[in-house]
Amino acid sequence: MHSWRAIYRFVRPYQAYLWAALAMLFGTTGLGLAGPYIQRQIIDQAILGGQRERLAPLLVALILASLGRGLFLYLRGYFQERVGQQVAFDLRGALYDHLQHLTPAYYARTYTGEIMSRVTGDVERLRQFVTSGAVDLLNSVLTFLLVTVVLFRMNVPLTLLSLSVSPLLGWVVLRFDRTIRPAWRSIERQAGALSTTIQESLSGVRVVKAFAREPFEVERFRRESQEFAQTQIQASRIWAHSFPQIDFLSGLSWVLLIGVGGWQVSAGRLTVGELVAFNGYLWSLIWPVRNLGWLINLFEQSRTASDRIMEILDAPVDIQSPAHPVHLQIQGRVCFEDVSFSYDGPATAVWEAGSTGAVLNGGGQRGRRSGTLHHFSLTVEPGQRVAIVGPTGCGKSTVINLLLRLYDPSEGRITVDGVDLRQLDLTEYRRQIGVVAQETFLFSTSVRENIAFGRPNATEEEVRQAARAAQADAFIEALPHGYETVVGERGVGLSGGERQRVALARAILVNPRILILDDPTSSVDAETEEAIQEVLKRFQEGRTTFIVAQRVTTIMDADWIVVLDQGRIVQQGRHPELMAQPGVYRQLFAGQLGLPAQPRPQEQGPAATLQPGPAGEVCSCR
Amino acid sequence: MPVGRLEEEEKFAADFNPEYLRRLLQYARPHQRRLLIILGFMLINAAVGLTTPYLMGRAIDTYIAQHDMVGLAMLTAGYLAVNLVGWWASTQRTLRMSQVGQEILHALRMDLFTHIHTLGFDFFDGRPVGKILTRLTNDVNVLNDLLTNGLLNLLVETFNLVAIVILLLALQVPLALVSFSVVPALVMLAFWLRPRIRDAYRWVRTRLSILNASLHEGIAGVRVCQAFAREAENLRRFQQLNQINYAANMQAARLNLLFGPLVELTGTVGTVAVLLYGARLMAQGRLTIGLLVAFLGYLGRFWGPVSTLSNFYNQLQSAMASAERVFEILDYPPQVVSQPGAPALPSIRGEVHFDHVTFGYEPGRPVLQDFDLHVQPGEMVALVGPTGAGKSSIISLISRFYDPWEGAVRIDGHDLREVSLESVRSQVGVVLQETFIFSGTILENVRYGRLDATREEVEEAARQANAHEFIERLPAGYDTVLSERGVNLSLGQRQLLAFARAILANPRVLVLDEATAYIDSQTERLIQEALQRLLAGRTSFVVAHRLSTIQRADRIVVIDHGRIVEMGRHDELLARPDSKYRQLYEAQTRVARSLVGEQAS
Repeated sequence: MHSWRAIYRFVRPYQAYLWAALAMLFGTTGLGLAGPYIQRQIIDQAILGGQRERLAPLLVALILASLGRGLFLYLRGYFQERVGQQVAFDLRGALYDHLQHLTPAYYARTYTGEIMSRVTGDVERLRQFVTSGAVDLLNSVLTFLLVTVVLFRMNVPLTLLSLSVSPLLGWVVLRFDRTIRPAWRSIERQAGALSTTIQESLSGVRVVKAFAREPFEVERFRRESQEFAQTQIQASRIWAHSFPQIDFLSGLSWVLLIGVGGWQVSAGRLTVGELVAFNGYLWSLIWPVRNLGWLINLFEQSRTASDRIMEILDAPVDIQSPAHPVHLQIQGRVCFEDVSFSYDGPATAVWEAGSTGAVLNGGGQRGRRSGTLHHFSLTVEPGQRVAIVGPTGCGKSTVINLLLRLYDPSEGRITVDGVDLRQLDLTEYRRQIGVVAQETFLFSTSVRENIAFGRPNATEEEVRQAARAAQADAFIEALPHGYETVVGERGVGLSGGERQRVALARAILVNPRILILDDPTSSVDAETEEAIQEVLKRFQEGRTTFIVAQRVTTIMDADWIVVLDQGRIVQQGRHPELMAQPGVYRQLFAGQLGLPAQPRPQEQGPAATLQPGPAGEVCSCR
Repeated sequence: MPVGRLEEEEKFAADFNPEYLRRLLQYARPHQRRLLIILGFMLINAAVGLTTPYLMGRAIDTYIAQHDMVGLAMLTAGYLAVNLVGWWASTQRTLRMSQVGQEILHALRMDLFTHIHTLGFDFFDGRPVGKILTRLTNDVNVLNDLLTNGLLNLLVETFNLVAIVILLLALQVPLALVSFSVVPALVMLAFWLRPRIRDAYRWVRTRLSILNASLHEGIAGVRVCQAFAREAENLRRFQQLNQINYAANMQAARLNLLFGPLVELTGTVGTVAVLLYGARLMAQGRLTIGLLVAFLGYLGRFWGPVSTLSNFYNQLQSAMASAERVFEILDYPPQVVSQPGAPALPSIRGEVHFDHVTFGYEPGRPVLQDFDLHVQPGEMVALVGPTGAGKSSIISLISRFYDPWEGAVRIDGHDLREVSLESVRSQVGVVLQETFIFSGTILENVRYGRLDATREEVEEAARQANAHEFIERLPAGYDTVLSERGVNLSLGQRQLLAFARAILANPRVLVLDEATAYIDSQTERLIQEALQRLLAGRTSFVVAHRLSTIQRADRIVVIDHGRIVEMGRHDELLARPDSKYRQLYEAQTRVARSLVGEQAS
């Protein structure tokens, strides 16, 4: 009920249309009753009663009634459609807007498919309800009542008899509705199982072939397919045992009408015209009852739909710009001051570097407190390059997420040029940061638009310059339509290296003061990496740079390297120093350099200067 | 703004192709008799429906007018009986129809699925799984619907139409002709207005799927959007698409809303004509009131057949589009097939010989050229070289995922093309870069390597693969259910599972495409250890990325442009002054080592 009220907020602006539709409803229902009534007059008076002169006007009236009703029907439908579509439009927009501002934590615990089905399926269900729910319910009730009144005035016993079928009919309809729904649910479930089987078998086709498991897969599919067929047959069995019954009961009304009505006419208590009119009205007694199940369904579905929609709209947007932000032209001094952070909520997960995180990389961390950060302090001067390394789940991605202000710290603060991030306008701040992530998300649009992503109004020439700087120009020109080639999920597939260059161009175009390299070369091969490294190096010049990487070649010439383990700084320094001392860093990277995990004694540098300092020691801010 | 490119919609309709229909009917043929029985039930039903107006007329004229209450009671009883028959026929029809329909569907699905699994990678590359899935579900449904409902309904409604025409003509010829006057208008509505409405809603569907695609991207790429502060621009674009969708909906609705009132109005005009002319005929004594009422009743029944006929045409068109897609798959030739009657490859020792192999994916562009390599049983070969050098092609040929253009691949002297496919693949193990996890338990996933393995054997294999430890730590151990492509395991863990799978399969020849991703050192150590056990005693081909793996190889084969440039052990190759391997090796480690060296000295 709560969510319905919340949804009504979206209906209110258009409620005038609803009222108009209701007004039209009286027209359509009223004129709908007129048809059989006029027919009765025609038969009784003009044809059987011999008043031939009444025939023409009555026929004209019949046509006029039909025309009028058609007009009302059209207008009613239009108003209903209008309000439904408007509400759907507003809901979609509101959902999209809201979804864009939710934190990674929300996406880590919600599947993309789930969100999609809410914004598509549930909005559509709700639209149907807004369009037809209330008006159709009223239409059913109004028609049934009015027809009953009209029939009573014509012939009481016959009316009572016709009505007597209704409860029985209603009972069958409701029973059908109750039994068919679990059957439909199991069809849905089984359809899901079947498509999962297909999907897996096809996505994993390499494994299937490698192990020569085709017969096994076919057998598995046969079972699921058969099961699916069975559930369908099961459902149609319910259908077969209810629907003909409903038809029969509807037909029974006519049997009664012919028998009892005929007798009444014969006895002179009913005219032939009235019998014909009765015949015309009967359907109006039957369809509202037959519609019952559908209406109940509509109501229930729309209630769950609105619950599910409101769940999204009610998800809090944690990160917002302050009301009176500080405007800042960033120089690039970044300071983490005793920052602690933990992902709260029951199912926390780190949003790992990939941008497709919504499909969830963090599942493995569920329940574990990974990605937390304890008393993290770090000062980075403008133009300095800092690398953050450590084993999976150590908190490196958290540092990046905090710096981007995708989250706020639980304790401590992060300042840029001395200003707390929370005092800055979010958009303005993020515009001055560039990110190159591990996996580049390309949108299904032209390469040009993908590069201009952070600055949609960039000129053609600026885009090309950025692409040239990222060494992406050559391969883009070689694409079928150059810069206008559509890439992404539905376009031309780019290789890992090409994607990374597009991502680089994207970041270069923004010309950021702070640059975040979130493991940018982990998914490309060594050669491509070398090529990209060069571009990266040039790009980093003069910008404050944060590097998160698993490859030693990416980090070793950083000005400062911070080693994290379980959310704490365990080592920091420069590459040669860290390499020379035993510890997490050496263990992490020795293998990549073909060196033993422990330094040989003569390799060991002056250890004294490089002991893992207590947290906060290096921070000189405040 | 390239919004229109977001989604290319599949074809809705195609021209009639008798060949397709003939092939489709093959699926109905085995059920011929049952379909005829169903048709019988449908005809009974139709006949029952046709009696109502006639009986009404008869009741008025014969019994009510003459006050024959016994006759009326008999007629009523008869009508009740007819309705009971209708009930029964309708139940029977529904029951039988769903049985037959589902059997046809199942057969179609099985044919498709089985055929798809004989196809090579050329089919799967560049064909998204989603598209194939649609064919196996939606398209197959459309075809079945045509075969069962569509064709039978067509027959029944034709019967209905003919029956009404004959009946009316038998009752009163001139009035019958007057009633037929509604038909052209109804045909107009069905064949002219309705296709336009349908087109309008197709447009709506296209717009909606574009809108949804944009939404999906917005969600999938939300992190990039936030990082680049793109929210406002994205919303603006989304609202544009939203607006177009709204307009398309209203446009379709405006058209659609015309339909009901127009059909109703046509009916009224028909009624008026019948009443007008009927009144005249009655005045002349050529028509009774009962017949007039019957005529009015039948007038409403023209719509059903007309509507069904127009629908059938549309159904046929979309079924043809579906048939095109389905038969495209069924007619797609498998890339590699066993020769008919090819013997099974006997138990192998593991000697692999690439005998002057030339191979490529596109004609005229060979990837491997005159590639000749002889590998002894138990030897470990590391394949090294730049991307596109031909490493993946080599390992694909060993499992006979492809056949060479020239030369031959032999295992223990048997040309792979001369033995059965299944016997090759069951003796050659493959571990891919990306471990595919099927939804199901860990146990089932490992057991994929050997379906009849006992639980103990699975556990043993997992132990060998260093996977036992982490599996035991999972909530339900080996019975933990993995889902959504195994996202709840880390990359390293999935790799270990793949090793366990391969160990369980226990192949003599193993092909391994090493993962490129960097994994933390702890897991890395576990993987290296497991790898050692996995490779022990088997002939193995490893596309190697890790130094430690390469160093362990019995032979390193350096490949460039589809040819072997050099071969030898790690230290041998490093010792050669101008070795390509040395260059590759140094490129990866030089800088780093020198930095460490400086520090050390």
